[in-house]
Amino acid sequence: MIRFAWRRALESIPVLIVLSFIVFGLFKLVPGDYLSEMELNPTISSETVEKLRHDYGLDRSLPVQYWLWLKQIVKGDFGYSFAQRRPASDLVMERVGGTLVLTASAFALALFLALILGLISALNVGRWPDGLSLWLSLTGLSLPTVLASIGCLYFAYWTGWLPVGGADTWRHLILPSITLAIPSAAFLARTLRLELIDTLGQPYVRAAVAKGLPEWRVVWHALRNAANPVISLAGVTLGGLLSGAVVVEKVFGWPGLGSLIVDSLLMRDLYVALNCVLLASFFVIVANLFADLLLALNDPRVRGR
Amino acid sequence: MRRYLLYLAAGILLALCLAALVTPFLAPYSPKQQFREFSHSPPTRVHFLDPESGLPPRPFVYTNPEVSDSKGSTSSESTGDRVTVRFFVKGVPFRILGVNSGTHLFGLEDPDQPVFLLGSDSLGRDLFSRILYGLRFSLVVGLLSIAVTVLIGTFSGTLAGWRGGWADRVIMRICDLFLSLPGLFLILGIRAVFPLRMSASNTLWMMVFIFALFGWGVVTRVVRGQVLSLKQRDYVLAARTMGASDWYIVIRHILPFTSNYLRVQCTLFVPLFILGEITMSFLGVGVQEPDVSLGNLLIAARSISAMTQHPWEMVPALLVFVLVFCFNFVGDELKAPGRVRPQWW
Amino acid sequence: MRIAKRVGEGLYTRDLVQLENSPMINKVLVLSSLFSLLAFGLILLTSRCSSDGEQSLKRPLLPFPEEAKVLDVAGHFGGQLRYALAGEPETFNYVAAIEARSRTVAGLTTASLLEFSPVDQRVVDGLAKSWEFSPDGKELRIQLRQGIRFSDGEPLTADDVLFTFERLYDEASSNVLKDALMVGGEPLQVEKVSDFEVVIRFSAPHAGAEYLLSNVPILPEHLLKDHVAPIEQAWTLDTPPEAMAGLGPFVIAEHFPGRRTVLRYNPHYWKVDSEGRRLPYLDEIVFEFIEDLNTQLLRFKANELDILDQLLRPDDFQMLVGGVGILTEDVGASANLMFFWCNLNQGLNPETNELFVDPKKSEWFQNREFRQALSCSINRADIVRNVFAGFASVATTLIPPSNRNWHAADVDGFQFDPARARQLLSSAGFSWKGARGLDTLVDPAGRAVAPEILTRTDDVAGRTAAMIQQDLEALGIAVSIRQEEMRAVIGRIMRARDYDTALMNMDFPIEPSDIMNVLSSGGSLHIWNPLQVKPASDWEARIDELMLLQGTLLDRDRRFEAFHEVQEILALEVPLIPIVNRNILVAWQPHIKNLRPASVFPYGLSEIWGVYLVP
Repeated sequence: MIRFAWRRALESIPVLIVLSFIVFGLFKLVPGDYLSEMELNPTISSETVEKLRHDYGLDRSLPVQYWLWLKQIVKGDFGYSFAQRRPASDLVMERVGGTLVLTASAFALALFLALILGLISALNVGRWPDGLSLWLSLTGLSLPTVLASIGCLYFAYWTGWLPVGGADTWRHLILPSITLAIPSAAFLARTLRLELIDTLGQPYVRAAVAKGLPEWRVVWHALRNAANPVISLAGVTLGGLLSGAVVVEKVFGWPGLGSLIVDSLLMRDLYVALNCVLLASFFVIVANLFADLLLALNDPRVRGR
Repeated sequence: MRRYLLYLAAGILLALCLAALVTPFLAPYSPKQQFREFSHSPPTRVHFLDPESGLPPRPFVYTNPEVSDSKGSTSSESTGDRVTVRFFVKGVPFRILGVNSGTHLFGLEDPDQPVFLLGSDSLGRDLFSRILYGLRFSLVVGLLSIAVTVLIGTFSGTLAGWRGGWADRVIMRICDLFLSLPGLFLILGIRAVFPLRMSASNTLWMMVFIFALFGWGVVTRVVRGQVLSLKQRDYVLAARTMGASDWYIVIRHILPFTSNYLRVQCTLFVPLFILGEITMSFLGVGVQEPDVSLGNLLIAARSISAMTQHPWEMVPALLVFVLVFCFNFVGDELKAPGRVRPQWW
Repeated sequence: MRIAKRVGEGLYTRDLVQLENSPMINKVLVLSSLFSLLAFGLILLTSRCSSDGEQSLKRPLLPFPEEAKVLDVAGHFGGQLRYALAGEPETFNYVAAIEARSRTVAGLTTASLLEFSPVDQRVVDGLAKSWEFSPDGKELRIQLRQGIRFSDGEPLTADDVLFTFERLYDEASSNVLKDALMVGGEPLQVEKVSDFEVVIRFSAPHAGAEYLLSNVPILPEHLLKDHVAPIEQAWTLDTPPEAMAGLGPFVIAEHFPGRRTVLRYNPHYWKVDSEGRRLPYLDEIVFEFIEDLNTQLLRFKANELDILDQLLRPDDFQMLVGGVGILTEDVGASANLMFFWCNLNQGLNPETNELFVDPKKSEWFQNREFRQALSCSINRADIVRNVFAGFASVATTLIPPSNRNWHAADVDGFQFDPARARQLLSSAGFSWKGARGLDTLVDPAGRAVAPEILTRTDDVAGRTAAMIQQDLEALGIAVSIRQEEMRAVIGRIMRARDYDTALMNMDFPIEPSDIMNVLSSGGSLHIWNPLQVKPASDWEARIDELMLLQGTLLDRDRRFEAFHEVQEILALEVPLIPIVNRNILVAWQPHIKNLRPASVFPYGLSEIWGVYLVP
């Protein structure tokens, strides 16, 4: 098991390296750089901008710049934020906690909702709870996150029950995580429902029922069997949550990686963007790894492989 | 009951696709035409009954449509001359399916007078026409993207699954690369590379490119898995021993079995792409001003003051919701276990 | 539980385990989910946080500066002002601050020798109690106020002034103030006469000297002398607040990354009110980082923010006007000008050895009457109404009317007049071709005029471009719009220079000498044709001459005359077509008193020391 985890971790290193190269390449391909905006300031001369460009190493060619960056990494230096004039890794580390908290709570919420909705509708196929859960989850799937966030904000303002944006107490976390969780919850609930219906129709379930097993044990058995695809999908969903967090963080003013990455990409703050993308990809990889481990935990057949 | 709902959803989708096909005919104006005096004009009331006689032959509107004041309420009574709404009027020339025409489904006798079925935006552009053009753009992007995604995904998935060995490993690692890069960041990066020369058709292809890049990995993975299991089936082995070529087996015995999955995937990916385009517009990297898409229409109206002062600008949001909901509903129904497929699908 | 075969409606062909008249588990599930929903609602309702009443901080009694600046204000002490920034500032160091967020925050923590009052638009005394030019205008003698202390209690002396200039002119430093501080290409010579007197020498008389000094923050030598790296690298967001000190009304008290920065009153501030009490009245200013404008608006309406200013959108402002319990003011045209221009570059691109502009198109753009006609064809009033909901001002020159010192009110330029546009075009040899005689504009050589508008990806710019497009189409010019990301647009204008016409908005400094880089032909921001080795035309040469001249004229009237002529030439030659200036719209809560919003930076936070809260 541990060997498997190690192998996966090692395999992800080349992925991360190629990724960093792609990001570097993208930055070089696009006209303009971080300093372009400064050129629009009438009180700053072009010589000053050129000097800064040289200081930041932005005038070097792509391979040289990339090679220097790789060399820095070995020394534990992940680059420098042009905008804030301090190590990019500091900036990223300040924000990482916010994103982790938000994503984790949204993920937990999504799983919880998916479990409830999925179970209810699978156990009541064709009756009103199933119908209700269908409409709920389809609505959740079809709401653009942007609109849902604004709707939630307006709701908070209108009722006064929850704070309108910000990030100080657990109450600030409620709306962003709900908004973020809705589409994933809906998606997972639909998948779980399908798998459960499928499993409940299997001969061994029928045998178990016929044997007179208590119903909760039948459902538990079926759930564990139905969980496999849901677990691996949940890993993928976590990546989706990280992307969705960008919008949610921006609208709710939640300090996280999402808003940092958009800003740094648009502002061309090269090393910050690079660190963010790599870290986010790393999270996705870890999430998938985690999903695989969970799968093995749940299913002895997978463990055997 | 559910079956009829399914038919309804499919019907709505079909109608929207048709509307997108003949947009220039349905839309009374070009999406760019500005009636500047009618900034944020509420939907024009079309009168079907003559206030005096009670039964005129034709619908008409008043030339001074209601103008909203700053509080968002509209004055109740319209004034000005009556202008008859005509059907099949001559207007801005256009070209659909290779046919040149200038006939629009409806319009006013005087083409310089506006009839806003769904109100107008800040520049006084007809929202009804803009929504139709936006729908057209978004649907074309969604459908083209899904076509490209499925083509690439099926090809690489089959290649990886059927060939195995190094081809499999290389393709799957590339897949991992794209799947592990959080999608949105990929979009932002690619969008940033594409600013050079952006005419309308270029924007369209850029979107298609981005979405395909985003979706092919998922398709590849699943198709590969299916091919791997199908490869071991007895009838495939039988075909092989009988000397059938790889191409023959893949096309005849393997791909037909993946089509079921692909169909479902298509219906579920299109709404994802439509929502993705909205997110891009929100982040300021989507379709830009001369072009109209559902995303940038929705984002333009995305403000609390718009919601309260000129709520008709939220119609694109409603349309997006209906569109995506119908796609999801159809997709969900198709996924249902053991579902007897309707004949038409 | 039983096994139920459901063939109902022919939908399902498989056996399903069905919990019919469901016993426990189903009920438990449905009930528990309903219950948890209820519980959630209850928690929400009961746990509404009660905001504790604001308490004013107990201020220590510290010695007053002997020569404090006395201001004619009166108010109450205490309280917090909550203000929204669109994001985190980039630095707490005013010398490094480029964008508005950092300048807003860092600007409140620093003071300069002379101060520019944004409300009165003139330079007034600051850390210097008096100043005097020598007769030849090359020497400025400055008396510092005695007894002023930095926020950490260290006294201010002439050494700090010397230190500041020394570090700003540092070879290794590339701070943003350095360029402005080069007068005639030479640095200023700063000399200490006594602890409270300095002399500043200029290589040539400099008319903007007072304004220049109002932008130089005086830095604490005792804190920064050990900082070896260039000065702009000091005081980043993670510098502990104790390590920073300034002379402004506030000091950085706390910073929460990604959330907010809290500024607290400077206990050693050197301005006092009419009753001799030390300013500022406010205890704290909280800068909340709220990126989404909807969220800002909602939080303002929920009374969680006190002021909305530079980012307030016209539509939102319109909604707030007349709102119950909200004060609003349209302060007038900002220095942010939206303008349109034709590419006047005629040179070769050194990289590709091709002409920057297609010579056929150059023929149109170089034609003065063509540019004048373009100016006449743009309906600015419509743009103001439709794009800015009426909250913008039609621009006639680069300098908005709200700039009371330098705006040339009698210069009109070529305002909207389609008939005149046609007349100008026909007199320049252009004609119209097509069915109705007015369909397509063709140049004297018979080619259709169809330029492209380059602009940035931004909603306001996009809509303005769409309106210009329709205006030009009415003149028979078929225009296409190309929107690109801002940095790409800048790169194109400055380096590749391969565009036809462009639409952009930019903040023009309020002091003529600061616009040098735009107006002089060798400037890098001379956007229509940057970095000319020698002036490309007579009128550009004349502008160069006048700009140099106005910089040396110490007499305000003569200087105004010179700059007036610059504006006249620009209006006649139309290298830039000014379109509109966005208005600054301010909304604030009624418990904020003595707010003096200005149309220039820092807008709603101008003269913040006098602002107080109703107790």
